[in-house]
Amino acid sequence: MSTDFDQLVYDLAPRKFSWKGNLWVAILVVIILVGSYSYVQQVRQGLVITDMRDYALWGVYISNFVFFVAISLVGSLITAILRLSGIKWSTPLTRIAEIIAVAAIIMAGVTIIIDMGRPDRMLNLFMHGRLQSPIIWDVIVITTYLVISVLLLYYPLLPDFSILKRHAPESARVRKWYSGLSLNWVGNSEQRRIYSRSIKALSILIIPVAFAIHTVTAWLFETTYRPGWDSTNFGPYFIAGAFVAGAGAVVAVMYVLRKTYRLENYITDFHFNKMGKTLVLLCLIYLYFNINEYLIPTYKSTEEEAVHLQSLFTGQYATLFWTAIIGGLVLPVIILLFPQGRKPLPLFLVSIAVVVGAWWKRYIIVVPTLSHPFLPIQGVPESWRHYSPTWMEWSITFATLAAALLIITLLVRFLPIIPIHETSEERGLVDAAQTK
Amino acid sequence: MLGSVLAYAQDKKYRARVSLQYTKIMDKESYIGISAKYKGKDGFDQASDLEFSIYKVDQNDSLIYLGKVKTNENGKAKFLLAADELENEEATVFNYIAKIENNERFEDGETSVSFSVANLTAKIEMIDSVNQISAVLTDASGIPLQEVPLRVGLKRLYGSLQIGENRYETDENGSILIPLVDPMPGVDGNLNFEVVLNENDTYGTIKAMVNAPIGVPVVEESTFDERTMWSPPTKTPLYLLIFPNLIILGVWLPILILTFNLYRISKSKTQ
Repeated sequence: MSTDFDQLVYDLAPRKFSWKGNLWVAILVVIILVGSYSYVQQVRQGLVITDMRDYALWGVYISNFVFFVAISLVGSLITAILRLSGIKWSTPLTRIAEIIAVAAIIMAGVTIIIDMGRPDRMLNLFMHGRLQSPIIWDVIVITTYLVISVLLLYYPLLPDFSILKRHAPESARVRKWYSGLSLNWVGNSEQRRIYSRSIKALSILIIPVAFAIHTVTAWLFETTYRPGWDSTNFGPYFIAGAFVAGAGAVVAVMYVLRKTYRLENYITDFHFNKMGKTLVLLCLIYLYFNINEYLIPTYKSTEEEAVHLQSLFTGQYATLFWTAIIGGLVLPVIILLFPQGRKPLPLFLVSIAVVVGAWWKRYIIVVPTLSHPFLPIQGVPESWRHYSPTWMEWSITFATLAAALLIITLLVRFLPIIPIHETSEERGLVDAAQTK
Repeated sequence: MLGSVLAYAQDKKYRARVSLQYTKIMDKESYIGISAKYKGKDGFDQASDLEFSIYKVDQNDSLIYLGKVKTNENGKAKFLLAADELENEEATVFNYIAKIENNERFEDGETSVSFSVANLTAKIEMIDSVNQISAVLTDASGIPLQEVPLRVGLKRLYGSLQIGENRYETDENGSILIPLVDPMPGVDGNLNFEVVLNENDTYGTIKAMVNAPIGVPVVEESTFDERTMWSPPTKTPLYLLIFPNLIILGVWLPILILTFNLYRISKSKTQ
């Protein structure tokens, strides 16, 4: 049996949580429980517990939904695009990206249900849905993307499950699970042939679906005639933003996992350097779209657009807007242009700024527009003119974010963070047990 | 034409402000329109469900009871006059009184209206290849009424659309002649014109209706039975049924194959 291979399995096999891991899970569960309490109140009392009213009818929930959809795009970026491009350095990051994508798309679906005043009527979407409506397109494409993401996570795990069922330092019951999930993988030529073809097909398939999920989400806004959303640029603008958010999320998670599981030999400074450069490119592309999205409406300054833009540039939302643009895009680009900025810790801090900025950017896209409709707001209570999420909305929103992190945490607990099989192949290591 | 109710002191009762208007729609009906309101706590309100007794004043100034009528929720009522009520009368002026009697909410009172009978006829005729609406106003004995303002309108769903000038005065023959130059839309091309003598001090309101198929037929533009972007699911546009479903099929078929491939992998253990 190869010693190097055993060391590799030892390094990369999932491990039980330390007390820190358990504390982390406990904190997430508490946040989820608080959010669940608020959600029960929302189901019992209705959306009146939120600050959403006739005008701001999409609030923090939809902002959060768009954020999750954005984050989920990373699965296609790291896994599919880099895989199809023949880039090998991304191997240690693929599993992380796939896990993030699955967690994010699950929570995107959950968030949409949370936004529904009557979730018990969700079935009506499928029974009476109209193909003319972008909402239905979104439902279809999210479901499709979820299935493909799960398949893309699962397929590369087959050889790993096979390795883990023999080598993982786990209980017999967990090994039995690994054995079942490995689908009798022995790595023979037929299995490898189907496996390789399937992963290639999935990598190709996920790209248009990933683009579609974000384009359709953009269309939800574009097809609604409102200041700030009346753009033909929204599809690529959203996709560009999603790549930024997703890449930021991957960097943040890979830093934490590297630190927690001492994976410095596998996720190296080289990977951070590459991801840092990728992030710069993505931020610059997104900045380009932002300039398009804000410069031209500012130049034209139609009455309603001018009011909307004023609220972003100098008005009520100026702090958020400039923080998201400068803190979440411009400064990261400047920092990451320097090699020192692409070291793990600075890049981690930058990625956190990028992800937080990306979340607020979605909020800025959703809420200010709804506060400035084309028709004047008249004859309604003063409180309806402004939107400020209630604590219950925040608690539910934080619960969804915590739930996404919990899904990632639990998947990390039972799945190898770095593909063992692929890494062993790249390093020329052979599973002695398999060669017998 | 307007009268106000005489007030008698009665505790907690309102004093109704009542107006009467005689209206005659040629070849159809004649009636006395009643409108009643009162000053409540927050200003004037319509006096709804208020009963009036209608009397005719004969030539000896004695009252002939005709019947009762109640106002609707808008404080309005319509008392139809029998077809022979205004015929074969020697009198040229007719007097009617509407009384509030023994009402629980309103003080007793009465309002009167006086009018003379006139007739208005209208028709559409083609003169010099142009449709024209002509109308003649005469008194009860058939003598033309000169220099009386008439209004011409086209009946629409919620009111009358003015045709031409605001008012046309009758000539020495009691007639007016209005050209209908502009094309006007109508259901099946039918247009309902009305010529109106409006709230005249002597003759009240008189309307003559004339229907003519001289309009531009309205083509119904309903898309109810068509496949549109705003139709229910059963009437989705075909292209939106075909192409998205082709795309869905094009994506889900490979997904099903890829899912089946998992089964194939599990069965390829011994190969």
